[in-house]
Amino acid sequence: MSDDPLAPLRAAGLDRLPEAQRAVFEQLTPEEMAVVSSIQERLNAAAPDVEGQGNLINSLC
Amino acid sequence: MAEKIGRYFVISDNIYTDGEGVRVQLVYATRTATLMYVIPEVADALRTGRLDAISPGTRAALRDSEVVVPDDQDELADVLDRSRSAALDRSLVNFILLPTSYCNMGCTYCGQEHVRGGLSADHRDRVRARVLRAVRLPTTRQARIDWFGSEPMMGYAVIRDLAKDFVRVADEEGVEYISEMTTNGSLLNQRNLEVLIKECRVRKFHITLDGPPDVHDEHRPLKSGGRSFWKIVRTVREALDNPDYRHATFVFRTNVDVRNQESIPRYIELMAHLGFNQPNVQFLLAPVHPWGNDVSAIELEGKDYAERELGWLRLMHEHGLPFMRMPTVPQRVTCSAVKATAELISGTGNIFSCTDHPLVPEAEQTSALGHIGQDDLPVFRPAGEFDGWYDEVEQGKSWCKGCVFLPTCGGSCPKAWHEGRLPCPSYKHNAQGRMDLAAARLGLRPVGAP
Repeated sequence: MSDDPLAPLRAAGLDRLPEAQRAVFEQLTPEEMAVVSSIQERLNAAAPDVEGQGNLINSLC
Repeated sequence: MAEKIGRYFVISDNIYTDGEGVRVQLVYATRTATLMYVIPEVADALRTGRLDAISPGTRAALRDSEVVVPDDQDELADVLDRSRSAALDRSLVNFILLPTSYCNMGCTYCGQEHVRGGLSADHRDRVRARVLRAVRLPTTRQARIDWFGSEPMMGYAVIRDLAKDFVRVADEEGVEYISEMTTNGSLLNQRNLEVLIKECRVRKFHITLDGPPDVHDEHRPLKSGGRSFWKIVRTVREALDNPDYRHATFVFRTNVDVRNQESIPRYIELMAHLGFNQPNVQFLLAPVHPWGNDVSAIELEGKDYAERELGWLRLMHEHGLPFMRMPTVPQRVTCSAVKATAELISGTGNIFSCTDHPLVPEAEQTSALGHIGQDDLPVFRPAGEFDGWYDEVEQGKSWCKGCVFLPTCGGSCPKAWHEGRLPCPSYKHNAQGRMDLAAARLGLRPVGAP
């Protein structure tokens, strides 16, 4: 395992974030960091999800 | 600044794993409509109110999602104030237009009464002038024009005529132009789609298919006696292969009642087989609800519907059909009925705030806020029955005041509440299952699941 605590972030491409956002990640516990990078990798790989509200009860037609 | 754990979030009951060491729970923040993946210790801290047990990094993310809020914040007041501001915001004007009063379908659950004839030339010109006046206001930044029915494509010539001016003036004024169409789809073809998408700039088509061919054609029969399923499906399928239409979205809506519910799995499998698992396609299921008519014999009860819906969503997930697992944007404005700068102009010329009113005989007689033929119409529609909706929520006139989903739902349908019906969205009842599907999208499964 790498000694670099930010290695999981680099793997997930999160090291390119703006400074302020990167600072947030640097305040995560190692376990949280591992989860964040794993989830980010999965989000990067997944097809885009449908976005929006979806509550269209009033547009019955 | 002192902080507290807020009230507007839902935690997944399940812990999810990838089988390789990752263990997470989902937190759905309803004020920002954000799904967050957190380690179980964080979920536990949120559940038990131990903010100090959460790391600074996660705390910052929870702050961004408004799960963690300033200690002195009255969250309900904050949510409602944002909605009130959005409802009064004049930078966005929205016109929902019926270019005709006729529909070529006779859907079994429809509460509208259709009569032949488009807008008269005078009415058409008045609609044009009214919309353009709003687009030209110095406060307007975005103009949204929705073509609605009856069946809007019965008034295709009116749409072409009006849209060309709307688009031109919006461009001249530097106003963002957004247009959607709610249509039964039966009159769409490659020729008119080209015009609608490129000239009229319709970016989203809401098309209703109520099941596989045999069921849809019975649920939504053409008044001519013909069938429409395959015509609709072939037209949209061909359009999806046109690279020029990649920016247009096709939403397939299915209105579900006791008569077509058993056929939904067959419909989902067919649509997947036909190749509708495309990025610019969305599938939406919705329960049939009263629309000025009595549908009590066929409608599904909310919780029962939600339970069944979850099975259908699971099937969509398995087949890769795109659908919304949880809302991804908060509902700042509940619907057009509560927005001061939104109005619906019926094929009769009557002006309404609520999309359930036009062409419904009783509403056409009693609920109109004005008529396009009036010379003294104000720039924005006169006040309507639902303009005080957020005050009603605050006063506890619906269940919404205490509901964790208020920020993502906005109360769903003020008209339904006024009629004594419960319009709560299905995700209020099946959010846990939907979070399972959100996790499954990332290859995560509940701990203990096979």
